[in-house]
Amino acid sequence: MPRAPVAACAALVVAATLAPPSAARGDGGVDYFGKRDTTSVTYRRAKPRTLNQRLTIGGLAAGAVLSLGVGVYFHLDSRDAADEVSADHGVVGTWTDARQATYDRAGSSGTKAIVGYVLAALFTGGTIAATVMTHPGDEEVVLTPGARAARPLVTPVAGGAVVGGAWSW
Amino acid sequence: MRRADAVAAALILTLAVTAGAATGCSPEVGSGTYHCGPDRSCPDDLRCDEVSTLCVFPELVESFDCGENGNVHEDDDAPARAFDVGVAGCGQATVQQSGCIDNAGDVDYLRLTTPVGCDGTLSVTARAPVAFMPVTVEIVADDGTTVLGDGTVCEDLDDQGREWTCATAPVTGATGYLVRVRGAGVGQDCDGACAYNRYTLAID
Repeated sequence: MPRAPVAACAALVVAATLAPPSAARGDGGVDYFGKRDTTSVTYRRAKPRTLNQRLTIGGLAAGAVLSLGVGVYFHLDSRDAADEVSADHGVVGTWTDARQATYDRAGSSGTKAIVGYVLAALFTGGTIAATVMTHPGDEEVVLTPGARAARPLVTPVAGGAVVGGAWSW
Repeated sequence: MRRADAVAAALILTLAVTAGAATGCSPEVGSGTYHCGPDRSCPDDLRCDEVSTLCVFPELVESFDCGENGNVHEDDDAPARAFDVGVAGCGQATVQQSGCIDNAGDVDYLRLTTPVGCDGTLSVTARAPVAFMPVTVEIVADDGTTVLGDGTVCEDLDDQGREWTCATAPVTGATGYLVRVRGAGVGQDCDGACAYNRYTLAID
């Protein structure tokens, strides 16, 4: 498979004093970072999740948010209704059908709020579980510079020079 | 297993927060804070005290009675045995009279005489708790049969949990009239279990 055109460049900048150059290299050609091969860079990156995994996690998270919204709505409605009929001292009125309806609404909305919260909790747990269980791990990536693209960069500074390099892959 | 522990902990925490938040929404209604509604209705944890007509803790409930002076004029179930309140109506000082309908078939009669020179309107208002059987009031001619004024609900609920029923009739001076109080017979008597009520009459 042909390489893509130069997509990115990684510059490894070594701030080192080059006087003499052998001071930057260790024994046996080991460089400043202890690597022998100065022509490649190795690092690890997270593997991407599959589309289905992302959809699953997103759906669960959306369900959690929606359920939480429903729970909060009915919680506030229940609280308003409860506040409307609650009384702790003095005679505040007569227990009418309207007050009974408000009393009942406080209870039923409270139940709906609990259902909403429980669903939100379940969706949240599902989201966490799905996120943990579908974690794809990471992978090692080795960047090998292209022959034509490899370019040493040397910039003289007072008392020495800054040495870098550029790769393409 | 660390991952499973984390998931379980998140779930338990969320459920605990949920339960705590939701339980804060239950209405808190104290004993004695509401008058009983129609059919002795009260909030779930309270019951109607039939003496005070307040919603109270169940252990504080007392059964209905007509009160100390509520039924002293019985037997007043017929025009001939009506309790005489004297001169009333037509601008005289308002006559207040308490009474009691202690069963669905009970009828109370009162007799009054309008002042000399009165050519106006006689007004009678009965106030009774909505918790028990509604009562109605009528103004009846002295013959005991001719109804001159029917009672209608003129205030369905006052701040003391009572319904007002009003009756008016044109009257002439120095004439005897009867006031008849009885159960309205329109339900709201707890399916017969609270077919009674106390009332206060105001005669103007």
